[in-house]
Amino acid sequence: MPLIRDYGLNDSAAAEKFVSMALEEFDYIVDVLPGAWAEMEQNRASQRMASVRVSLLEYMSAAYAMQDIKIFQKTCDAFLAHGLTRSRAVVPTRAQLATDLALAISRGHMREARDTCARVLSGPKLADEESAAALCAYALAALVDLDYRRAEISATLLIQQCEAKKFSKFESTLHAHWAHAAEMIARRDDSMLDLHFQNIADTRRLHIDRELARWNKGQPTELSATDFWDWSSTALASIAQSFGYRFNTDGGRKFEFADNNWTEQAG
Amino acid sequence: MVTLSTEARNVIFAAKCAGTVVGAIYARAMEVCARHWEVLNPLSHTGLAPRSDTARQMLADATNVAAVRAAKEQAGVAAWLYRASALLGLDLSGSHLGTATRFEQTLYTGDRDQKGILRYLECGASYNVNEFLRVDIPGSHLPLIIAGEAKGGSGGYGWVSGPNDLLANELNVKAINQRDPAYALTRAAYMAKDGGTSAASVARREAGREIRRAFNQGNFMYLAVRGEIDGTTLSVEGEVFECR
Repeated sequence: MPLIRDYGLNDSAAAEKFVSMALEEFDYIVDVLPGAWAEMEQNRASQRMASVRVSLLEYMSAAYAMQDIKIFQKTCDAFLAHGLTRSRAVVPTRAQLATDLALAISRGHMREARDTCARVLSGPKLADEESAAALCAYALAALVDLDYRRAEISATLLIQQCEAKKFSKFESTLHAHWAHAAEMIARRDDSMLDLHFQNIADTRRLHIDRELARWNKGQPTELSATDFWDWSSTALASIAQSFGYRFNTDGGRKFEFADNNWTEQAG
Repeated sequence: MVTLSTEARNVIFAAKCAGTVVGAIYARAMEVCARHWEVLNPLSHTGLAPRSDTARQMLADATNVAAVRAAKEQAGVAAWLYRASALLGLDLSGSHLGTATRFEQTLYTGDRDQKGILRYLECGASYNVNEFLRVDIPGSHLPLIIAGEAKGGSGGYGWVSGPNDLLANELNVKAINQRDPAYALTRAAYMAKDGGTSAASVARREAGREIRRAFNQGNFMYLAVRGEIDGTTLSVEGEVFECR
């Protein structure tokens, strides 16, 4: 049964229809990746590659929600094989590396994860106006590197940015919960992890319900297939689990948007 | 000369799709073709002249701001279609526009080829590109997909926000200008997820998907054109933008 039916959404049928559209649209996307990569490397032109990367993420997120393991594996592996840390032509931003890093951790590809961590941590010093994705990348990289101090600093900075409402309301709420979870892991305290992960899932569920309702009425919506898989939280859950933290222990409840056991098993 | 430059241009398009030449070279080849075509086919001698005349008449008759705006938008669309015709070496009024019809009482006008594939869509509502064209190019297995923005009057190209996945995370920007090819990509994201079943919704979804696919495959071109009514003439000022 597709995982999406366990998301607890108000209208699961509409959600399935929405992500199925992404599966239908992007069935060609893995095949065009090498061409886009070659063009980026030859011409230092990155817009086409950016578009392909977003399409791949939509495709693999839809596959995650529908638990289509073959598509998920194929797409995720193709994405990582063309990770931006390998590029000789472009210098990826931390926000871009956030995706590559989270995917590598979520799939249990730790050699690729460590390469990406080195790039994230060796970049310029964290600025006050970092994007949420960049701060997530920094926190994840520091945790993989067992640098708890830097992980805590970036998580705290992300919380401050969210409290200052530097992002949209949805993003601020979501990333604040994520940063609290990252901060707990950095402090080696698992007492509230379940709550923070549940808050992340609740925020995402609320966002999808609201945007799906707009979509059902034919109104413009910010909803994307990428809303149906939280790779950043999956990576965080994977790290927490690898540290042996008490986690997801209440039996029946799962963190549906961030099932690291499934993504690692798919590896 | 137009025939020769068109044939040469088509060969370059096939090479662009194969990844052996950069898109900017194809855009330059189109410009060469357009220069010759425009000399032989001034706007007043094409099937687009009635559309341009309508815009001019609408402006002359306009008595309020909304009517002026509608006239200028009409001028922008006529200018875009003329510029696209020149770049393609093909009077679109005799091909794509000849059988185009408005979808019921909507702001969308479109046309499909004999196989039922969408080849033209004009969108009058927000969260869309203004224009979508699909053109088969001899010698290439991929069609050329052109999307664009038609501007009427002297208003500037605006900035829009859009899907975060693309703008904030991949392109490292908060908003994108209407002169940027990636602008079409952000509009296509809204178009592609239209889940409706009406003819307009189906066409809109198809156009959105085609733009994203063409951007991904490398057979995409973005065209921004400004058309301004100046006395009895319509001035056309267009630019082709390639992915960066």
